[in-house]
Amino acid sequence: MNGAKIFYEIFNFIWFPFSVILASGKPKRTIDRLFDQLYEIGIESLPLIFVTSVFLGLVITIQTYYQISGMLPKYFLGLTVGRMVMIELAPVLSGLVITGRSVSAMAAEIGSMKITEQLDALRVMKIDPKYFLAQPRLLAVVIITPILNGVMLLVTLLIGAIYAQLFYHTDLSVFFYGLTHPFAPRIFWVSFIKSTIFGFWCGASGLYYGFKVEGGTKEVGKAVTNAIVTATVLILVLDFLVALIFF
Amino acid sequence: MIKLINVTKIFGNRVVLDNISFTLEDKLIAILGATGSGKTVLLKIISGLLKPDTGMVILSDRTSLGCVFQHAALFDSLTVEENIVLPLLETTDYSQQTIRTKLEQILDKLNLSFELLKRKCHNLSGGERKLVAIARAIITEPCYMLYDEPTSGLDSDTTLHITHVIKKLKIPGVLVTHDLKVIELLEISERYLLNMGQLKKID
Ligand SMILES: Nc1ncnc2c1ncn2[C@@H]1O[C@H](COP(=O)(O)OP(=O)(O)OP(=O)(O)O)[C@@H](O)[C@H]1O
Ligand SMILES: [Mg+2]
Repeated sequence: MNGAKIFYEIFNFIWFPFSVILASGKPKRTIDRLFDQLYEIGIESLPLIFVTSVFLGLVITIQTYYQISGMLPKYFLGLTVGRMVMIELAPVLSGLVITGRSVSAMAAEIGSMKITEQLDALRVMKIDPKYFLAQPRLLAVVIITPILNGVMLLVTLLIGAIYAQLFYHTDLSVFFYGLTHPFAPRIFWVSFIKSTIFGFWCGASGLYYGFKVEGGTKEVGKAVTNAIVTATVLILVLDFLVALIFF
Repeated sequence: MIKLINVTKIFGNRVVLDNISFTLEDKLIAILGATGSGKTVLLKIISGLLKPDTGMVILSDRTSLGCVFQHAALFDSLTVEENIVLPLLETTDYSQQTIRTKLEQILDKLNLSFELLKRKCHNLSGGERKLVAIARAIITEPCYMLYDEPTSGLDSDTTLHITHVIKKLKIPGVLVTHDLKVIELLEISERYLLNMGQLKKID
């Protein structure tokens, strides 16, 4: 690939989700499909979010306690765990869970529809596949990702607090004091803004590679891999950009 | 009216369609061609899914097309009913009642049973898939139909049923097939042969 081609690819990728949002059709139908997708993506991701959160809560509490015990007051446990989880771990990991669970599925589903000419069939019927297939999916991921981020925050911190109470004799109130002092609302909303951005670009990756499939089943497999790799890299790069901007 | 003027389509260094011109008025014509001769490509160019490399396709005002794809291209995640009414739901403002009436008329025309409606498309038989694809294509009452191998891979009874249906619909358009027998069954008089990128009339 030469430079111009790479530039063209990147431009296409960046423009893609916006073209999806601009695609038009009957709005009422989009809303019906949006609810289907919300349900599907939300329900299929929740178990994995729970498992990830529980173990994240345990590990991060153990590691933090190990670093600070004997040096800093106990409420630092809540403070450090809380900030790490809110700013970094919950948005990044919930983004990765969505990528593994739903973004991959989207690329596979749309890609299969493409090779079986279902997208062509839509076009012939004057239904824009971007409006019909991509729009509700993109909107659904953008809505679901921050919600899952919130679930992850709650579960992780709760598990952390309980573990600290049981094994480190750190009272729940001390842990929560650390969480909220000094209270910094910015940290809270940065967490949600971040996961919304992740949701948008991860969803875009899945849909973009799905729509791009040409050929047969092997290409569908490749599209899934490309979607996951792109979404994962994007999460890390965007995470860095947000850190640059907000901190 | 559908008019193709000097249409050429090249994939890599393979000339699939070589300077093809023809005009379609109000009848069903048949295009016969061996596998790989470019029948599907030609239909996709007519329907606008593929752009010709040179030449152009002209459709007269308000011309609407219905397409029956070679592999039916049904939406596998939807039921038969959802598939058939989809174009009406998405592109018109018809009431539920009107849509229901149209659906019933079409089932009647194609001799399809109501029992089929609730089934998911991924476990239909080959013949059922083709019939559902035809139903979905004609529900919007298109001016022209494009049939891509509507009977390929079907047994002789089903072939007979489908050709009977197509004949009864009397919608003008283009039917492509590799099987001369189908054209005989359909009693189509205007026939072309697609070979080496050229379209020749058969007398
Ligand atoms: N998107 C594409 N890219 C490259 N080559 C293509 C593409 N689509 C079709 N071709 C080639 O064009 C030629 C004609 O294909 P087409 O699908 O029109 O054949 P066909 O007449 O419909 O055959 P069949 O009876 O098997 O369906 C084939 O050699 C095919 O490989
Ligand atoms: Mg073909």
